[in-house]
Amino acid sequence: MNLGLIDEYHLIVNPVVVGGGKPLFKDIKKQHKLNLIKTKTFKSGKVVLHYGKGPES
Amino acid sequence: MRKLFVFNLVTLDGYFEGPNREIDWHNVDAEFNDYAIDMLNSVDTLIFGRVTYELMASYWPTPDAIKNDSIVAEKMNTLPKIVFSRTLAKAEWHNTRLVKANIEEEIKKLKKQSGKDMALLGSGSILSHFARQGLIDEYRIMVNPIVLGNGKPLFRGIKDRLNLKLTKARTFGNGNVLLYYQPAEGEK
Repeated sequence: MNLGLIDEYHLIVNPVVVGGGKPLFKDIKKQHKLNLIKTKTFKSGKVVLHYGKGPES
Repeated sequence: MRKLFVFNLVTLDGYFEGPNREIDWHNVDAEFNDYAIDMLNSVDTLIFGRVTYELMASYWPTPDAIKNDSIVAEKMNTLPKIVFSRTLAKAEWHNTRLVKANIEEEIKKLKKQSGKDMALLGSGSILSHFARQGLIDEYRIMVNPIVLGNGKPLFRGIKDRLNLKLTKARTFGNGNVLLYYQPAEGEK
C-alpha cells in the first residue's frame, strides 16, 4: 500500500469484535483514500468489500 | 422495549478518530445528511460520553453549524440529550442532562420507558463499556473508504469476544458502507 502497488483490496468483514489481535493495516505511512467498487453480503453475516486504489495512491 | 443503538463513522482500518482526534476524513455529502436527518427523526434521546459531548456542544449551537447544517443543527440542539461523565461539572448545551453515576441503571430505566429509540453517538470508551454490559441493541457502523494508518480504535477494552449478527448493509454513493449489527443470540 505504501508503494502504491496494490490495485484492488478485497476484504471480508466478519460479524465479530475480537477485542485484540493483529491489525490488517500496519506501518501505513500516510492516509489512503480508496474507491469502493462493490459490496456483497452473505447470509452468514460476512460482508465483502472491494476497493480500488484512490486517485492519489 | 425501545432500543439503544450506536452510530459511528469508522475508517477501513477501524479507527473512529485520528491520533489527535481528527475527524476531517469523515466522508459526508447530501445523501449522508438525509440519512442523518432520518436517524435523528427516529430517536428522542441522544447519549454521549464526555469527549464527544464536548466536541458536539462546541459545534452545533454555533452560527456556522446553524447556517451550514440547519436541519441537523436544529435537531441536535433541541433533542433531549444525556451526557455520562464523572468529571464534567455541568452540561450547558440546550436540553442536556448530566448523569454522573449508575449509568447502567440509568440506561436500563430509560429503555423501559415508552418512546422512540435512543442513539449513542461517537464516544469510544463509553461504547466499549456499554457493549461489555450488553446494553447496546444495535450497532450501526459506517465504514468510510479510507485507511488512516493510525488513530483510536472504535472498540477498546473489549475483553470477551463479541459475536454479532448482520441485519442490514447499505452502500452509499460516496463509497461509505453502513453495516447494521445486533448482538448474536446468547450474547445478552
